[in-house]
Amino acid sequence: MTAGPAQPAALEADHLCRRFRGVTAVADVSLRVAAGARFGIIGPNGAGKTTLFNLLSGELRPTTGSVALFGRDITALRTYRRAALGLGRTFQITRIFSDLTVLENLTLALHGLSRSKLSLLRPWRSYRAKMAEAADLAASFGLARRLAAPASDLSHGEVRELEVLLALALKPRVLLLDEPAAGLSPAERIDIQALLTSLPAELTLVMIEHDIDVLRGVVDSAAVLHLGSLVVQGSMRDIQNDDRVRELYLGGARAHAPGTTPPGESPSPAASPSEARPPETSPPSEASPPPGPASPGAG
Amino acid sequence: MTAGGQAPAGRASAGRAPAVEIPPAGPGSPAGRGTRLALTALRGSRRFGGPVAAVAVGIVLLMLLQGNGFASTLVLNMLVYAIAAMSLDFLGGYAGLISLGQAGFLGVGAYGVAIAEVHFFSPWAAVGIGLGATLALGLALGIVAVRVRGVSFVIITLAMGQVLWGLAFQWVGLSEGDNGIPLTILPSIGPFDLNDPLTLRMTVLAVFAVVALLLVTIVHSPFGLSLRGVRSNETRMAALGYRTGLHCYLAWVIAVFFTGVAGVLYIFVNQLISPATMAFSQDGLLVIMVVLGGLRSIWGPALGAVVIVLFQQELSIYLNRWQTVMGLTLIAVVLFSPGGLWGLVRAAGRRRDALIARLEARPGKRGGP
Amino acid sequence: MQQFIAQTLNGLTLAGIIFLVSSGFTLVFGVMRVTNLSHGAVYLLGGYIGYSVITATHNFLYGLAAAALGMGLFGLLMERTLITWLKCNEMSELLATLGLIYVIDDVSLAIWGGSPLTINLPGVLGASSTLPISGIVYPNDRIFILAVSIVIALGLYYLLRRTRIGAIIRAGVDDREMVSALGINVRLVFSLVFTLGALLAGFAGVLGGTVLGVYTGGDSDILLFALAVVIIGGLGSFEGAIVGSLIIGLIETYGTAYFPAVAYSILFIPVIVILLVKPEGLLGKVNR
Repeated sequence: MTAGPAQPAALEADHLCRRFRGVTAVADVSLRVAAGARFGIIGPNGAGKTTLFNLLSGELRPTTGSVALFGRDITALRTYRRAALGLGRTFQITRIFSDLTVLENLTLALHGLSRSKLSLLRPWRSYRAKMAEAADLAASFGLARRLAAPASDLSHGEVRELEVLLALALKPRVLLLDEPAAGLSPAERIDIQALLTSLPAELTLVMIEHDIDVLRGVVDSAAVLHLGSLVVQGSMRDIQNDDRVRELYLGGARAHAPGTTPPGESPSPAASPSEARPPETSPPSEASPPPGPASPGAG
Repeated sequence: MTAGGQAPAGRASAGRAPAVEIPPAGPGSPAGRGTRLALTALRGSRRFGGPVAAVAVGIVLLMLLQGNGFASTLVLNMLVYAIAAMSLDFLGGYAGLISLGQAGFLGVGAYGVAIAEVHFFSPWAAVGIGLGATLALGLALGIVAVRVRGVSFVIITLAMGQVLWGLAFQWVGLSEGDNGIPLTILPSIGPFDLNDPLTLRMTVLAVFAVVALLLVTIVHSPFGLSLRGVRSNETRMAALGYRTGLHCYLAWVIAVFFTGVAGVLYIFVNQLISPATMAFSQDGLLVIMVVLGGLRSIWGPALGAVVIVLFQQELSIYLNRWQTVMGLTLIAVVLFSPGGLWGLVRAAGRRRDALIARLEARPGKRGGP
Repeated sequence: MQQFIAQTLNGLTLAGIIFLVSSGFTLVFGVMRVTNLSHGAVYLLGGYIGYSVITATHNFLYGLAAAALGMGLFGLLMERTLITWLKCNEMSELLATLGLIYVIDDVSLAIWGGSPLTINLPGVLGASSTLPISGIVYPNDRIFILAVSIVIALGLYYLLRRTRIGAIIRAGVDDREMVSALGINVRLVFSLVFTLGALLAGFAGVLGGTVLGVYTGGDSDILLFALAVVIIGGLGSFEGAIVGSLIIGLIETYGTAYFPAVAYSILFIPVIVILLVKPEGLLGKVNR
């Protein structure tokens, strides 16, 4: 978790700010994720998490602020350029190619950073190495027998796996995961968590997630966002013990106003039921065994 | 799921099922023999049906092209519009960029040749100018056109096509307006003389075959797959490292160029170009050809072109209201059979695959399900 | 100078007609995500119907009413059948309306023939008057059209901005699912908007028939204008339709007056500029 000053952070956001016609979705967020780190982004709905991801991966331009990847300023770069530099991303509402087969999905991903994507006269099925790689990728996540199936035939859990596979196919150095466990059954959540912990150690992970169990098994530090601003950033233990976080999730004033979801951030379908029952799932200190003295107001 | 036969576990089964070897003979009962016969026939049709149909169509075309003037002109026009329709399918069906302005580019190709000859360029130079003008226009307009998608793209291409038609209509100094420009001399080099009817017919057929095969090849290439990806989920493509704007631009240029080729052939075949060829109704007819034939199939739109050109020439003789029939046909296809004629062919193919799977699963065959 | 003022007024008149057509088109797209390519044909058919009724009854207002109500009814029928059957599939709806153009055009050709027709305004409206300040003699029918267009534009603006149904329509443009979630009968709103659009187009067809004539191909011409307007103004934006209509109407008129050879293509210039600079239109929304 330590990166010496000589080594650039894998991903760095510097005073990122994004305004939409009067709504400030992300307000002065600065983050520093070290190489190889497992970093989480937490916060209630409408906190600006997906908007932040959109700023990091290039779907949105910041109003002010900058983003750097391994020390290189990528703020002005479009999404495809960031992908070429090693930044991968999955989407909260899955974006797979549903009218194509799983094999075609993976093939597209595998050609994405290669010159062969502009090849006009050679059938894509003739690229033996890439076909084998696609088969291996699918097999590593248990999708080997689904290669010929149209992606629309996949179960929700398989779709989420394919979503991660597509990002991994690019061999990214930094991977942004937007709620990889959203909408999954408890059994599927275990699978996803196993998948995430099996990812290579050199890969830097930044993950938005509401499910505290998935989070705790994967990340070692996190940042908490609220209404677009960074509340606290640090190790999971620090966050669990932080007063502001407690107040956010347990405190008297309701942390967020419903319906103020800024454009670009869609409410996560899985998060909504969990947000409606905050004492059970949201704050870090609730679901875990008490780290120290019993937290006040535990319910 | 689909395809007959199970792929051995661990091997990536890519799309179409691999040809399955015919299992050893089961018990010699009449039912067993009948099933084996049926299976052989069905599997044979799956493997050889396509090539056999292609050869049959080729023979029919060759025969028609030997015949008297009228039949062959009809077939030639079918081939010319088939080229334009296939190009439109490439752009609209695969990349999702449905253009309602392709008749404009067909006209530019034809007018380029005609105007060049009026200005005393040699026939081959005129061809170069026709193709060059279409390509240049495509390169320039593409920069603007691919900045939008979906409905906006349809609208902007419609506008482009109409503006090109308007130019042909109003810029009388260049285009002779409504009268159109006739073409008298076709290119020739040595013994190869397009003024000879037979040579012209064979050339058009050859160009059609080349364009069709090229488009089919491109569609199966990684670039072709990328176009389907852009159509399916453009944001994901960008996240995967694709410059989607560039891919759309390339698809546009390819489609426009081949439509220009169709334009050059058009004026060779019909020896006249007038603004009517570029009117909005012609843009619409091209779309009808593609949708009727079947989006995303390349061959389907060629078939659609055959049907529509036939309707246009033949039906209009017996039926004054053939345009109404055109419109109703499009509506009917959209409502009841969105996959078009080729969709019906594909559906038949799927039923055959299911039948093969059922027959193979019968006892006495390969050990059952 | 006098010529320029006259041309400007011509441009504004054209802008008025174009606005009546494009406002319906853009609202239908905004609320229902339907690209009704047959909108131009509805305009033309309205012109034909108006012509027949006026010729038969010698009453301009009857003609206007017949065209507007007739096309409104046509629009309602179209929405309840074709659009409903296609269940929100954007491309299919577009293609179906494309097919409808052929049907409407051909039937019109069968009934009214291919020769251009003109609608004449009765009495004083058919004459000309001298305008104050500049002293130009200007046809009253154009003044009438301009006045009617402005009144309707104001009326629509009031409807959209000040009434409850208008708020629902604007909300529907913004977020269709939310409107439905609020318990509002979205089906009814769809029918209403579509019918209103067709009604406006039919009405415009009669007005246009006075100064532009009713002729085969008139639907493509007006459709092209309307499409240019929505590209410039932004698909779904009512205010964009106003701005776009003014731009297109004036440019088209000046172009025809001063650069006749390329007049048709001149309206392409603002379209290209917008596509290069702000592809979603001047007042359109970005799809992010």
